[in-house]
Amino acid sequence: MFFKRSAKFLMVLVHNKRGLLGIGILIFFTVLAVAAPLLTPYDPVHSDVVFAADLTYPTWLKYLPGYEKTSENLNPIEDSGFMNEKSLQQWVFTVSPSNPNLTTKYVSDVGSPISPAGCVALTLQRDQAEPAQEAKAVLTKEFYYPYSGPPKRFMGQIFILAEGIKDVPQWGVEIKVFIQRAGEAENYLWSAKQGGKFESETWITPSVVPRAIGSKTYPPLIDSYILDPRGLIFSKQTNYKYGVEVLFSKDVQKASVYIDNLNLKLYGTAYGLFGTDNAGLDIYTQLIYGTRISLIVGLIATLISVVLGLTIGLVSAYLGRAVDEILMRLTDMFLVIPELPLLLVIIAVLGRSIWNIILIIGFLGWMGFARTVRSQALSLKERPYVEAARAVGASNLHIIVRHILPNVMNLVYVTLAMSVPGAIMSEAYLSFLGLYDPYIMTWGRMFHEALALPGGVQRWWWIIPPGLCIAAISISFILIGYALDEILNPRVRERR
Amino acid sequence: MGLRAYLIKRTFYSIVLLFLVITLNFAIFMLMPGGPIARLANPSKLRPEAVEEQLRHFGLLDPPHVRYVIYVKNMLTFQFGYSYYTGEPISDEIASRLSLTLSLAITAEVIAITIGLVFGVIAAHKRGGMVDTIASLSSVITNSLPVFWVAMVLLLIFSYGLGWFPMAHSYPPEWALPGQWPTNPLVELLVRLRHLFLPATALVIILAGSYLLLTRASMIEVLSEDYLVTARAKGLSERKVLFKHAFKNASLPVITYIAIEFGFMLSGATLTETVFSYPGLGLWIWQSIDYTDFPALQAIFFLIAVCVIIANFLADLVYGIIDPRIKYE
Repeated sequence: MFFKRSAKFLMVLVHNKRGLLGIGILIFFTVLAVAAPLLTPYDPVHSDVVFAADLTYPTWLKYLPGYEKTSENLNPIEDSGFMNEKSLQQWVFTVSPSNPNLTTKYVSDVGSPISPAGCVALTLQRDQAEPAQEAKAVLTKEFYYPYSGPPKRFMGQIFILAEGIKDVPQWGVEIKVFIQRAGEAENYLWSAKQGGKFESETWITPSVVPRAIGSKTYPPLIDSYILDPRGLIFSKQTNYKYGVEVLFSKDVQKASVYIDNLNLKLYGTAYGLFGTDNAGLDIYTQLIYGTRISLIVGLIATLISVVLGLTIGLVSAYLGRAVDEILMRLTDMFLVIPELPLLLVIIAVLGRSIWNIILIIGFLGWMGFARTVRSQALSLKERPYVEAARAVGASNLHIIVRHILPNVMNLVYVTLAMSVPGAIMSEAYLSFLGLYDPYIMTWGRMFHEALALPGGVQRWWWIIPPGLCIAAISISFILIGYALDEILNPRVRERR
Repeated sequence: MGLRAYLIKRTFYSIVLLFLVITLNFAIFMLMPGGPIARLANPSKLRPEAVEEQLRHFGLLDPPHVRYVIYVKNMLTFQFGYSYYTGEPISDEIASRLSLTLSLAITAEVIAITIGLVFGVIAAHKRGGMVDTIASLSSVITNSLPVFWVAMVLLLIFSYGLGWFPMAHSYPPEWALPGQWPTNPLVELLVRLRHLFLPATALVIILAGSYLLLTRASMIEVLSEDYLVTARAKGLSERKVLFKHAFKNASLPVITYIAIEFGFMLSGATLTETVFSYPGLGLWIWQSIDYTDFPALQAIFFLIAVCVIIANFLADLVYGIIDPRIKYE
């Protein structure tokens, strides 16, 4: 019954031009809100893994003048964890000077702690005839760098386990990680000697191999002559080699070096539909999840306001006298209190949780509606059918609920729709001023974060979309409100 | 009830409201977690005597009703205490910023009201015409935009993009250096106006729409009245009919709204000032939130409430005086 009536009502609403437009926009945003986890794999305020550099451009920005030299993410290495033997095929193995005793092979039952078992082992087993000289093995992967600008950041990774070098005096193996541009010398990103007093028979990894960011602070493992590895290394569209070089000392008789998670990730200066924020989080994700919060805040806060306003208005009108006087003076008082500063003070005191924000917006928005309901109910109260109900002994509650309430429901629907934008806007203002829930990304907070950054306003792809979203969602509710008003209160039509 | 009784009732009512606001403020202050002790470094390491000493220093050992009386007295005499952040008296902080905010808010309000009234009347007069469609539509749209967003977009286009207007502050920062302040007051005024332009424009864009929609609605209401037919039948020019006869009657709700808006304009400027780093009261509110400077927040809340109460009172008064039909209920 209820469902049938709602469906019929919706049909009428959709036949109204404004109603149709409003419902259309609203459905669009509702889909975004509900399907958010399907539309984006990321979390709007937190990420365990780095998936993009910070403050990147949207990828489509490269079509605009001035942004041609953007680059995108590039992961040249497949299956860096050596989970499958086939992944060894991408690596080129060379030995110099040529040495049949230095071999490489896939090991399926050993692996670093961060990925499933499987790694590559470089083994040197000298025979008696071999002269005591250093032996070098190199694993490289060649890839093409297709972008005209350097990446914003790149990160290399390697896990190493050296075996059989404990008793070697001085050092047993030296391991170097490098990037090499076609036809040029290697850029060593990291190097370390193993064996002797540098012995380690557990998996080790350099905490950060290269840290190529705009700042001039580099970890000591990077060769100091590379001033800006990011710009110097990737300044050409050409082939590059990433690899590891393992040098066995002349004192080594039998040793193995296991290598796992040999990876290189290039984070471009452009990422995704709207780029990333200063923490490297996806702005598109934040926009999508912001829809949820806006709708939740708008609807729940409005519901609270409307229920409060309805109750106070009905009670005030129906009971009259002292109750009416007190409730209406209370209403006046709340009307006079400036909303934004009060919100600021209360949220600052109570704490910045999203439920505090919703509740307080709801509790500060009922006054106008209470007045409207009261005046409507005052006239309904004098209608003959109310008198008749009273004559047959109906209780106050019964009369209010069964006879007066149904007649103010039209107002309720219209007000519900018309008040949502105000609540959404209040939330946006609070978040913009910094009173946001730290665990939740909202549209208002996106502005806050952009503005808090020097020159953040210039990143228009960051600040324009949430503003348009707020406007669109507000307009959709206003259109629905107008349509409801037109349908439910036909007399209004001639005036508007 | 006569005008005098009406006035007395309104005055009394405003005073009651004022006390309610002060009480609310006091209650919020009591709710504040931890009280002033929590703001000291390492409060858990204080000796009990030291805590007591601090409490006595802040007057927190007195019973609540004594504190309430002191609080009311201080509020009414505008003694808001000292800012947690700067340590300066809050009344001084407010006084030094008030003129900037007022010049911004009043400029914006006056322009917005003019635009809203003129286009509202025209839109109502030619209902469904092109002016009406464009004006109403853009008003609905600007009403749905957050004011800080409009401010940011203006900043983006006219400061960063075109470079026509300064990006922040109310005057160039280099003026603060010794000997740099312009000697010609006209130059100072022009430069200040240039700094004022974008924030004021943002406020105008947001405010004008609601004035326009309200004027239009109340004009449409009035335009269907019989006495306008009479006025036209007398052969009055259309302009006279519109502005003298119709608008005069349609202006009542608009005036109320304007009065109330003036009360709220202090808080309305917060968001705009924040975007433009315009060093008025609004920016100060923002900073106070950042530093959780409760005394400052309370003072500003109290002041805005006082403005709104006064504005409401004035609106009632104006209403009572210009509309003889009102029976001063």
